[in-house]
Amino acid sequence: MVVMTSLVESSAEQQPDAAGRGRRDNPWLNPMLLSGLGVLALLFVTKWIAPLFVAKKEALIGAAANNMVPAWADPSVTHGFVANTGGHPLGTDGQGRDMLASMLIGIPQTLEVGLLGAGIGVAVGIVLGFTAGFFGGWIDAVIGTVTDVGIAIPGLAVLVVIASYVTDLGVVGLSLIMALFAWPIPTRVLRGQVLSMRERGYVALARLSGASSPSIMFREILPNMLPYIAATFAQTVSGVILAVTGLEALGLAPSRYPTLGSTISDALQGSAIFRGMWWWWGPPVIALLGIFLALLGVTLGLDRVANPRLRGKA
Amino acid sequence: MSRLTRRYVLGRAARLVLTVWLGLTLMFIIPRLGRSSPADAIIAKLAAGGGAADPSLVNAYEKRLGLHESLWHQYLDYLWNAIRFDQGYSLSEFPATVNSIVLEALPWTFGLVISATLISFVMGTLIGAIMGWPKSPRALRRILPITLLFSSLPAFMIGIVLLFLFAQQWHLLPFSGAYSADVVPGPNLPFVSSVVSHAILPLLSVVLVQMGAWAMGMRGMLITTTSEDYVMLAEAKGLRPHSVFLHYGIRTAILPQVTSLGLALGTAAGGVVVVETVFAYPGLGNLLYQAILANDYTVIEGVAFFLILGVSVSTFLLDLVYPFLDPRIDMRGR
Amino acid sequence: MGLATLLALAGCTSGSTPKTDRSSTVVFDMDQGKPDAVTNFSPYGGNQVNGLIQAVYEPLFITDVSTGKLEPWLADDIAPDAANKVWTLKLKNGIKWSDGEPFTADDVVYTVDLIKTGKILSGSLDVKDVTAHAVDPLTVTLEVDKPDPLFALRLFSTALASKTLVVLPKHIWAQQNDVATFTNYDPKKGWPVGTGPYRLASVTPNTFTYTRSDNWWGVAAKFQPLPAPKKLQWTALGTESTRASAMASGALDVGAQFSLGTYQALKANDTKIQTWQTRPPYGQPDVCGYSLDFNTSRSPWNDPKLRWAVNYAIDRQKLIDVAFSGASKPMLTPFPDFPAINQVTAVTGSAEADRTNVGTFDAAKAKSMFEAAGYHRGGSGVFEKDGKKLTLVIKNFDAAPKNAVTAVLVEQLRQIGIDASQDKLTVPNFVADETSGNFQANLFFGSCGSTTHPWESLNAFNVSHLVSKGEKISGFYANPFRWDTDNAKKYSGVVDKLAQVPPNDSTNVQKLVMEALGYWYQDLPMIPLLNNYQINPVSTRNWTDWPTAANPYVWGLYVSSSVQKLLHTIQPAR
Repeated sequence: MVVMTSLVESSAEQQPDAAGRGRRDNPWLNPMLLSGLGVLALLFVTKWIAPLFVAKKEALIGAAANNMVPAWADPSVTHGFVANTGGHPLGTDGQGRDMLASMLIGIPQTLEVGLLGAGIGVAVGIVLGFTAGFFGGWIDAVIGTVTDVGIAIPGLAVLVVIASYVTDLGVVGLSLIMALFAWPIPTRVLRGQVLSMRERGYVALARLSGASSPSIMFREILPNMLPYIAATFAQTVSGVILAVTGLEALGLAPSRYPTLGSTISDALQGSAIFRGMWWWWGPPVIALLGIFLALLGVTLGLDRVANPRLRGKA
Repeated sequence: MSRLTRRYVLGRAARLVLTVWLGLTLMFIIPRLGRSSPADAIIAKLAAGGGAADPSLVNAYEKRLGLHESLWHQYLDYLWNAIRFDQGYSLSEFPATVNSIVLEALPWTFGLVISATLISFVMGTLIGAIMGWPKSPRALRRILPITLLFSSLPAFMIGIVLLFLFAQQWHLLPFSGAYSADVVPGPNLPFVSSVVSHAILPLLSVVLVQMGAWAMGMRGMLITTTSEDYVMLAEAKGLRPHSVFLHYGIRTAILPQVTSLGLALGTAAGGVVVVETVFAYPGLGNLLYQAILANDYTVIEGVAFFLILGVSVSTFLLDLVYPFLDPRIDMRGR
Repeated sequence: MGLATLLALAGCTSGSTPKTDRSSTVVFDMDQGKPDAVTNFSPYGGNQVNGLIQAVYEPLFITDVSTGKLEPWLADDIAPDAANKVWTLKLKNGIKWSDGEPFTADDVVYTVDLIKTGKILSGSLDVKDVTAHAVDPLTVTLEVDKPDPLFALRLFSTALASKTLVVLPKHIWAQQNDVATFTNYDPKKGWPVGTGPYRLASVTPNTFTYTRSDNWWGVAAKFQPLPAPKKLQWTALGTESTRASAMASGALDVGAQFSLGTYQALKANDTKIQTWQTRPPYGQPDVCGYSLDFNTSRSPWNDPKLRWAVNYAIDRQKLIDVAFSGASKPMLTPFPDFPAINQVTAVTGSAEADRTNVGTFDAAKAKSMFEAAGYHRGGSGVFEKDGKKLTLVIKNFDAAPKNAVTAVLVEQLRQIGIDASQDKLTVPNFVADETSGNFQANLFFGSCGSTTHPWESLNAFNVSHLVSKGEKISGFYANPFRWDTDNAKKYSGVVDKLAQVPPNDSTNVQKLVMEALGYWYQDLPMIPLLNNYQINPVSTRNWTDWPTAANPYVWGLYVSSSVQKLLHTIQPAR
């Protein structure tokens, strides 16, 4: 998650082109950004479309026979696999969860946690980062120190303490916990941005004309920073999803219905790779790959919005 | 250089101390907010074999571990112990001391994390440079982005697939651990080669994931740099593309990369917990995870101390070097 | 480029690394997947089952789990006086510690006294009421405060690692200023010093290596010839996939606690893999069975009728099919599926009917019982009474099979109309809640303990352990159910009586067990669910003559002192 910032931090060095852009080549309509957003939207609407195809309870433990191979595969009896009895196109996992249902429920939930967690984290990052970068001085020092501490303390310790009080975290609970880990890096990145913006001509002009600090921050700087904020957000979503998957892979944050992370965790604990149950570990990995590639597309697309020089380059 | 004023350095140093102190304080508070007490960790240990935990025995242990003292007393002891690098006994692995446990794990994590971060930095920066330089071969620029696909997967997942291929299918590399049992630790070839062969898979899973971000960063920087006036000027002067690439492009674009590297080195140890668990690699991440699950306050605090120190010191050093690294100043001064 | 170089380097290094000679080395899986602190080698410390009690230290006796008899090892005999108060222990002649010092009665007395001080973590060894005397170098008397015909089982059984007295060398331990912090590890001094035919040779963060000491006392004393393996390793390999791969490639001989699917895949790839029995459930019975342990002091689950209703709502076969893919058996008593126990607890009389009822899955009956208790189904299909939902939070701690059993159980109870949920805790949090009574029900091993005699499991429900509300009980098996009804008191009276019956008086033992079970079934403080079968695969590629159900010369768990007998039995494959 930390290394991911290098992308944003380095693009943060670049200056936005404040000059007006022609309506015709609206940078927001670049194919990278659009296809990334499209894929994400498509994955997200499974939340409403999925119930048309599968019953939610099919994703519960013991919903069907264990170890059922996908519809088109041959069962290897020596491995303890069961022939497909129909109704489970992707087969079932080692504990009788229908894989298709698990994916259709897990993908939107994982995305929700990613979006909500990153949303809160970046919102906090905007407030703190802007305040620190804009005011500087002792405010900057305080926020900077708090941010350093936030990065330094191991989040896992915090999570386990919280988990000991809450039985079922749910999407909102999990997102809030993720936000606890997600704010320091956006704060640091956006502070750097604001710092460089502050010295720009139009900000100085606004100051001279007597605009108030909040007005400058939100009227002058924020609009110019939107692409950076969006890119930071996309990266934070990636980071949150990686983190939540990792936590679930360690067996923390359990829930009745599967998530992508819990499916991977179950597959690992059930030795799915060793047993040759590719239909168990494969789908969540492919789903995650899809999500991350879409987010990468969004980040790259936003990069082009923020940095006109990137346009037209490979 | 006049950039490093006394005031600036002292300010940063004060912030370093403040960060470490705040971090330590939080790590004193956090485990104690949990629902179970250290006594429960001890009872868990005693009861592991199905036995009863005599309350007087538990009391004796609490006394020995200083847990009967007031919180303030414990807190001051804790800070004093941290300063002396001596955190006393582990709760869950008594009578082992925290130092012996942490120092056992420290070199492995440092080795893994530092080499993984450096390798991914070099590889990623190189790939990014090739992708970002307009004059590199088109075919190469088309193929390289594929290497970035891995960066979207969790490192532990890659690790498991690597294990499956290299250890199980092809018998090329060992499954887990830090070195095999039949070598004698020390500066001898069998030991070193055993360490290297055990480190490759965990290393590779981290490198494959981290490389992508470095590549993206480098590519972005390079594209910006190559459109800067001085690079255009160099090209117009008829300098060979290679030397423009090396002297102007890379040099300038790499500076922000290096600053990120400092931070990455400081924070990476906390990021390899799951990888270390998958490979049963005896590092800090694995240790921290086990200690958290066992509610072993003293070991959690011992590991966290090093993680906090890593981040704060790398931030501090970065702040000190940063004035020298600003690309624009560097170029204009030339 | 860098990667290619690295791989090439690895290619040559793994070729040049000297491979362990597998024809003379046995490699065991470390039980927990990770050793304890690698400097702690007390046989009462966390690394005890990573080779210490199996190879370095020897037990006084080895339990024949199928009959319950103690077979002599370091000792020849243990026998009580007529009152069952003074027990006389006879040691073998000619036993020597690995540093050449003689092993004597003083060592036994020293160890018992040391455990009594509470300075070492001695698991569940209970010697508080024991006074030990060395009569002569080979004779120890052990006097208990009150008559105890089961005393020998308490200290000398190897059926459970934690209930085996491991004798410490007094000449080393008595020299230590602080035995509590003594790690018993100093390679230069040859520590740890034991009597066994193996010595600790090297320690890495993941592997402990032991080498055979050819001047082991047993040869000169004509006790046994040297065991065949020259070297033993206990190694921590991490995840189950990794351990299974290591078995498949011949790098590991003994695996610990595999899941059925992994075992099947392993067996499908490698015919040299075998386990305890050839048919399901494949593994050997574990001492602990899965059960739903109620806190009987908390409303509404303090009502035995509701607990019985829950019992009827449970489909044990489905639990087995989902959580263990069919490889387990229902558990209907508080006892594990151990041969010696099965003999005395073959249920008869009225208990037989209760036992049958416990095994019955009858959703309609469960519902009608809840309705009879005043519950009705609310809008969401959940039972309610006085506007309050019928909830049941089931706590457990991290372990894959426990999670699976709990998850299936939760779904079954939700189907019947109970608002059931799982609360997965870390081990210390679970301990805190279990011992302080802060739970409705736990998915745990509530009646763990009996291996060759039914008393231990029954005693886990004894009212003698009770503490007042809010106070902590002393351990897992000290009536965490807080069962305190009239039935509980009558039950405990019978169990106390059972403790005074000599174990060979099987008629009376059986009579009392049935009587106790009668009270127990009426209240059902714990719902027994499934027996637990440990699949510990072994490979016959390098070593043969492993114990199996057909040849159970030791019980197939590789974490007890009885492994000494295994080491003397296995032979290199041709």
